[in-house]
This record gives sequence, structure tokens and C-alpha cells, in this order.
Amino acid sequence: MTTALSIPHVAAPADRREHNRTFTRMIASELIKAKALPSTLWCAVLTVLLGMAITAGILGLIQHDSLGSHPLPRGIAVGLTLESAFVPIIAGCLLASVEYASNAIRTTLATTQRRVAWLGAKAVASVIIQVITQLIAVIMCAIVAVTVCAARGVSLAVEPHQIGWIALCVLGAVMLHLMGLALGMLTRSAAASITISVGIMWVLLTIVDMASYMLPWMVHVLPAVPYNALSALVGANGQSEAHTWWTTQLGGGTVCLIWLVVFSAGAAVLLKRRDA
Amino acid sequence: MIELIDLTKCYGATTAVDGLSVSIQSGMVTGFLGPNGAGKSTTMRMIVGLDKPTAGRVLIDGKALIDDPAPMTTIGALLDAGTVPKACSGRNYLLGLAATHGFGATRVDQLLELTGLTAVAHRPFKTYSLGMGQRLGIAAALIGDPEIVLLDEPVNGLDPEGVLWVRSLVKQLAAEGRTVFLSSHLMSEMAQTADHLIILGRGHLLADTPMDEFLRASSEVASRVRSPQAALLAQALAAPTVRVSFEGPDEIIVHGVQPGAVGQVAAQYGWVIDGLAPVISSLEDAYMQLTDSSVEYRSGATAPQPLYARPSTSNTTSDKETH
Repeated sequence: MTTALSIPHVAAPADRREHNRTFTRMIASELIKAKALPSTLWCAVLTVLLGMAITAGILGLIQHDSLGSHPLPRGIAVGLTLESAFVPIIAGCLLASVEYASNAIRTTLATTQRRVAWLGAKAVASVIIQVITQLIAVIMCAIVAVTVCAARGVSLAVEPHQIGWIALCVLGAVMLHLMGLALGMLTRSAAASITISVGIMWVLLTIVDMASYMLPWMVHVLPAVPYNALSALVGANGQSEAHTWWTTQLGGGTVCLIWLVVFSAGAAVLLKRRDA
Repeated sequence: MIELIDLTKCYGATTAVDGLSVSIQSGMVTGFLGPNGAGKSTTMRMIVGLDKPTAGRVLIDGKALIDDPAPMTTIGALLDAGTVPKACSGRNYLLGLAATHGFGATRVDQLLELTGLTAVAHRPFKTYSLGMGQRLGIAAALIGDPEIVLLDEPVNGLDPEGVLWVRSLVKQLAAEGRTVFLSSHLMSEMAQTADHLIILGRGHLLADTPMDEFLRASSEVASRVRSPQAALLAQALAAPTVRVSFEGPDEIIVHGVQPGAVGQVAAQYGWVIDGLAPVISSLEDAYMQLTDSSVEYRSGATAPQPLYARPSTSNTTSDKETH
């Protein structure tokens, strides 16, 4: 291994001001890091493939006369968001926990110094990646849906004015992803954050759902469960029997946002206060 | 310049660093020594803002590092060589860090060349050896061409060429007027590299002194003499305050006498002197002497007992004979 001794200089001290740390630069840094990690690519590929498989499976198996009851793109948005919800949340957990697993967080924080700003930059970078992934997934799912339905001799109703459903699907996935990221930062462990994510998304739903049979007032808690809130957000009501404002899309979105804010605030406070 | 002002760090009931106040000057290599658990790494982490001090503060050129708009150009640190995601390539890792301050691929490639990692730059970090990891860590520390360089055990795992390179590099960095703060357990390496020493023991400052002064203060007056008349010279120098130890038939160490005095006695008798030099303590001797009471984790003096008694050769022989 041949080494050089002459240290390359950047610039004169006065020009160093050109190299200030900025929020935009931190986002660029996080995008480079995320791109360099194979787990980002795996999660993106898994999101797309899972969405395609679910779409093909559902459209291929449901009864002939049920086809078309959920026109494109709404049916895809609901299916993709709810059935593959674990992928974006786990991707978020991995993105955060890999910093701690490799201790890269030390170099990152020593370099950037502004911890909360760095977390914000990481969140923005994650959102960019997630939006791109979800849009690709929706397009691929639409292609699969049209292909499967054509093979079954059914033409799907495509309603362009419902294009907003795609935005909701992406929004839901992004919120899940950010929740995973926040949980990863809170727990500093991939295993712990994934376990907690699964617990909050699915185990909590089962527990509250079962409890509502014994304690009728628990029905009112059901819309506050993240999975139900996500269902409400993407317009797949039916998980909850109580039809209130909380089970509307806006209500579901608000509940998701509250969960996200709570986790993110906890992650930011602990990141700022804890030793790295 | 780094100023540590009454710096204290407690972990529950344990005080890792206790009221440490020192200034680490620019333009020289400052060695940071101390036994395991003395608080060296904690101090280094507090300097770069990774650990929050329980009390006291750290000033970098008179201000807190967190207020620096470009921390990467102020301080570069190698605290742990393994802080890279295993699947990430060395180049991508550096690109990610460099991007936080607007440095691009050109700067990264320069540093890869400087550290001799160009050939392996695109390989995932998990394929790197310990020494390659160290080199990557040094490259990361130098991205911003920082005024202060902190290196924690930089020669760990390096081959002899790498050790020599790090030694020359830190000396050059200091010669350029930068502050170089270096921690190492390799005394021989520290002796050749550092100009100034800061020594910690159980979180307390034990020494903050120039290397030469530290060695001189730790050395007793003694002379090493090589002469065919070594035995006669030993007799001639005999006095209550003088102690002579034989290193060989023609070599003695005379404790309590300066070399000049030894030379005068030899000249007086017309004896031949083949070698005469003052005995100066090695850094290791001086360090061991200073930190003896501060060692927290001391290894046993004797070899560990085997878990299971092994039959001795004679017993085995006897068994064989019996059967």
C-alpha cells in the first residue's frame, strides 16, 4: 500500500467559508449515504415487487364480478399502502439503526455538530427516496393490474380525477417510513425498532380490537391505532365500526401525524441529549 | 488551540474525567497518555461534542465547536476506525462525509491517494483490514483540511510502512502550524512523535509537560560506561551515594554520578573509555513510574492457572509403564 505524504490543501483559510455546513449539504450527504447502502435498494425493490405481487394476487383471485369495484388508482393505493406497510417502516428502522450499528453516527455527529438539523436532513433525504420508490411501485402495480384484468377479460375503470389517491398512498408510506426512522433513532437498534414497529402497527391493533369486545368504550380508541389511522387516510374504512371524524381521511391523517410527531420529537430530544 | 476548562464527565457514580484543565497548543504534536479507563477517549469524545460534559467546557480557538459554521474545517477526528457501514465502500463513505461541507469527489480522491486507498476505494468496508480501516479513518479526519487533528490510536493495525507514514504525517501536520492531539498506548511510537505530553490517571491530570522535560524529570543521575577497566573504575567510584550495576564484563551503569565525573576519574587513572553516556529513562519507564498508582485495570503478576490439570510427563510415562 503506497502512501503519499504531501497533504492536499483545500484552499486558503479565507476561502474555507465556502465550505460551511448547510442543511442542503447535509441532505445531499444523507442521500449519498442512503444510496451507498444496499439495504436502501433492497427495501425499494421489495416495495415494488411486493406491491406487484399483492396486486397480481388480489386481482387474480377475487371473484369476477368484484373486479372493478375499486377503480384504478384507488384500489392500488389502498392495497399497496396497507398490505405492504411493513416495508417502508422497516426501511426507516434500518436507515436509522445502521448509523448506530456501525457507529457511523459518531463520525456524522462530530462532522455536522447540529444534531437535530442532521436528523431533519436525514428525514428529508428519506422522504425523497420513499416518494420515488412509492411512485415507481404505483406505476408498476398499475401495469400489473391492467395486465391481470386484461387476461381475465375485464377492463378496469380508470378514473383520472382520482389521481389524488396516489398522493395519499405516497403520503401514508412516507409517514410510516418516518415513524420507522424515528423509532430507529429512539431505540438505536434494528431489532428493537422493527419489533416495536410491528407491535405498534399490528399487535396493538389486535389487542385493542379484541379488548373492544369486552370493553365497549375501547371502540373509540380504535381510530387512534396507527394501522386504522393509516386505513382511514387511504380511504379503506371498515377496520373501525365507529364512524366519526377520526375515521375520515383527514382524521386518519391527523392521527398518523400525531404518532409521527410524538416519535420524531422523542427521537430529536434523545438525540440531542444523549451521548453519541 | 484546544482549551479544556474544568472538564468533568460522570457516568452515574463513576467520574471518568475530573476537573481537567489543559490547553493543547497548535504547531506541535501533543501526546495523550493514560492507563485503560483513565478517561482519554471520554475526553476526546467531549472535545468533538459527542459526549456532553457534566461540568466544564471545551473551547476550540476560543469558541464552542457547536457554534462553528464549518466544523469539518476546524477539527478532524479519528476516534474509532470501524465507524463505517460494512456494505458501504470507502469512497462512498468519504463522499457522504465530504458532502456535508460541500467538498466533492476531487477532494475525496486526493485523500484516497494520500492514504494509499485508491486501489480499494470501491470495495465494501467489510473487506478492509484493520490497517485499511485506520487509513480510511485518517482520510475522513483530513477531508476538511482541518486546523486541529485528533487521532485516537492511529497506528493500531498498521504495517511498519503505515506506522512510519502516520508518524511523518502527524509531524508534518504540526509543522504546518496545526494542533495535533494524539492518543496511543505505544510508548515507543509516542516517544518518537510527540513534542508535548498530557497524561491522565483515573480521570485526573497527572502531567502536562514537554516530552524532554518529562523524561529528564523522571530520570535519575546515572552514567553508562564501557571500558576494559570497568571493574577497576567501579571500585574507584565507590562511595555511599553511588551504586554500580554490571551490564557485562566491560560495561557498568553508575547510579548517582554524572558522566563528566566518571570521565574525570578514568582520565586520572589513565583508563580507556570506549563509551560514556548519561542514562535517560525511556518514556515507558517514566510513564510507568508516574501512572503506577493510577492503573485501574491491572493484570495478574503470574500466569493464569490452567482450568484442568494436565498430567505431567512422568505420570504419563508411569501410566504407560503400569499398563
